[in-house]
Amino acid sequence: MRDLILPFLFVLFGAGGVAAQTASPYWGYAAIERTLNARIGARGDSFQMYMYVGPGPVSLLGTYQGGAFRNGLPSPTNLMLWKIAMTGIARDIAKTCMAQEQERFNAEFLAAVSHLCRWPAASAQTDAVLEDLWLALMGYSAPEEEYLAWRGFLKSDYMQKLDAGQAVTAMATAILMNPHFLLRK
Amino acid sequence: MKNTISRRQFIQFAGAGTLTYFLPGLPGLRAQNAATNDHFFLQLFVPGGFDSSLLFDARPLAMTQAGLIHNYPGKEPVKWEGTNGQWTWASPFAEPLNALKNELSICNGLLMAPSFDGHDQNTNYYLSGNPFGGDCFLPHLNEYGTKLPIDAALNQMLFATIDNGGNMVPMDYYTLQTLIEKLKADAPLDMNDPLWQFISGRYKENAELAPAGMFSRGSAMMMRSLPTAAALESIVKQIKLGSTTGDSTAFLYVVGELFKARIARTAIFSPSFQQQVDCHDVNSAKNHHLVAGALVDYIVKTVAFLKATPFDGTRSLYDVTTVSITSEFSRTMRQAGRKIDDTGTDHNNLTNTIILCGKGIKGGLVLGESDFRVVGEQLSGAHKKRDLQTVKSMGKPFDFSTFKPRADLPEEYDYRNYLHVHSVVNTLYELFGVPKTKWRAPERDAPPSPVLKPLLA
Repeated sequence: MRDLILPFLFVLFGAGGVAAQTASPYWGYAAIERTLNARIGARGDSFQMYMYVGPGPVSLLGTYQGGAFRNGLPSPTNLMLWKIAMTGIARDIAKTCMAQEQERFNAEFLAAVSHLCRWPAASAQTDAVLEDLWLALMGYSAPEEEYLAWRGFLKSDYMQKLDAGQAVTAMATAILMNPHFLLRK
Repeated sequence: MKNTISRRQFIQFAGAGTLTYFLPGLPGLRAQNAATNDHFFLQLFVPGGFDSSLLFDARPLAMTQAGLIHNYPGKEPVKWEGTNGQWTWASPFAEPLNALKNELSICNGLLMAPSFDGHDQNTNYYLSGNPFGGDCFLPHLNEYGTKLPIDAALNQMLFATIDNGGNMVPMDYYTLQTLIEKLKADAPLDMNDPLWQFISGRYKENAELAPAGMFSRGSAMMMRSLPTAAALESIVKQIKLGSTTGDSTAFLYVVGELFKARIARTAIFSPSFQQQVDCHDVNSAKNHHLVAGALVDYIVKTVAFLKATPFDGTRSLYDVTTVSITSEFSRTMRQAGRKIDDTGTDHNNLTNTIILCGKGIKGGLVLGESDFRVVGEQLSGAHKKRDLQTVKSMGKPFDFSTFKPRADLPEEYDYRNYLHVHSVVNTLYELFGVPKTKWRAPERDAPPSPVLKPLLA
């Protein structure tokens, strides 16, 4: 019951000020939920941010309240919350490699991730496999340079030493925390 | 993967490094040592409109007998004398606060929003200085010293429209408990981890792409926020809420931990009551004294908690925290056309009471006064024009040179004659070093409302 009530219990606070007019805010938690559910979700409500950060802080991820977009400018507090949410989703993605959480993802996305479950095998590192994950999560929201930078990171020694679960978590986190995924343009 | 940033390192970092980004144009303040800036603010706020006559703005029973003001408990108030020569009637429900008499200062007769008597408008008026909302004063208290990550922690909703609330964080006991659990279950945001270095690098690269562009600025804000987020996470994880149950004062433990960890500068504690605070109906009005009793209990518990909780090796939380206790307005003395023993009470924006104590506050004072204190009292023309049914008390004209109420009866309302809630907020601004450019004025183009200097310890 508390989970239902708390989202309504918080102040209509916004991030205002000069910076609000001069910097891109986050898309906000509702828009990110819609994006995730459309791109990788099995249903329209497979991914809800409050499940990851708790019902109270979810409005701090940016939301429309009182006729304005509130809490949308990046700050240490909301970045900490985005990190909790996005690493949580990334871990859920990785769990599909162990046949867990699969019911929350659509078939196309599960197919894209399944190849990565063999990481660090060479077959998990082909351009086609990496591009499938990138496009599934990021869509065409980012320029190609972002993809190339991400792919370069996946080739790093650090990533090569990770097992499949760790690697999928890291590569998904890197996409989900990317400014092109989180910020408006 | 271990995050090794200590609390001390975080404070040094937040104070001397990250603030470069938070406080552009204030280089002299950026490197201020956190320890010298240990000043916090706790707002105990009673939403709904608490009747001041049931605590520190009471009226004698003779006024009830004359049919002017309800007094359902039927108890005679007692004189509460300030060390500054001013006094007020205190209801018997304030009796438990006698032990704190030398520490509490009472500000009475505070005018709220001059033309609006709604809850939202007057809450906005107190928090932002404007009935329609705007910048809340609490984040301002966190702007002119070492900026802490959270401007204000809140335990429940406030009906307010706030423009600068990006770091006013809903953080009740369960929320913090959940957050701590989630952070503990999560791998730390370790800035030495190649993953987070890569992510930070993307923020940096996008920030530098077109520095004047909005997207680049947003990326730059993410880049600057990430190390502080990592440090914040490290500190939040270390908070030990213990086995405290989620009782009515559990939020105080949250506040204590957030202040001790220097995570939050201010907090708003809106306590819950079993009785309806907004007592328009007769039954609620008859039980309003129970709200008064519960509020007094909250005040006693809050001060006791702050005093009993060490902030560091030499100071208690009370030593470093300024406390304010108020509601959005007081209430009418009765409802027109109702018998005095069968009346509810409505909103009264013409007077309010704020109780102050803690760091920087000289205790034991009574400042300001509302009118309609005795049977047969002549009311000013200014009062009568704003209270056509003659059911309200109103702040008396105030002498800002002597800081005492005046006896004259102005025919017309003129903001210069009255003590506004802005004077209390400006006094808090003075305490926290907020520059005068931020100070509140009672009207457009008016000078800032005077600081209540006697309150400054």
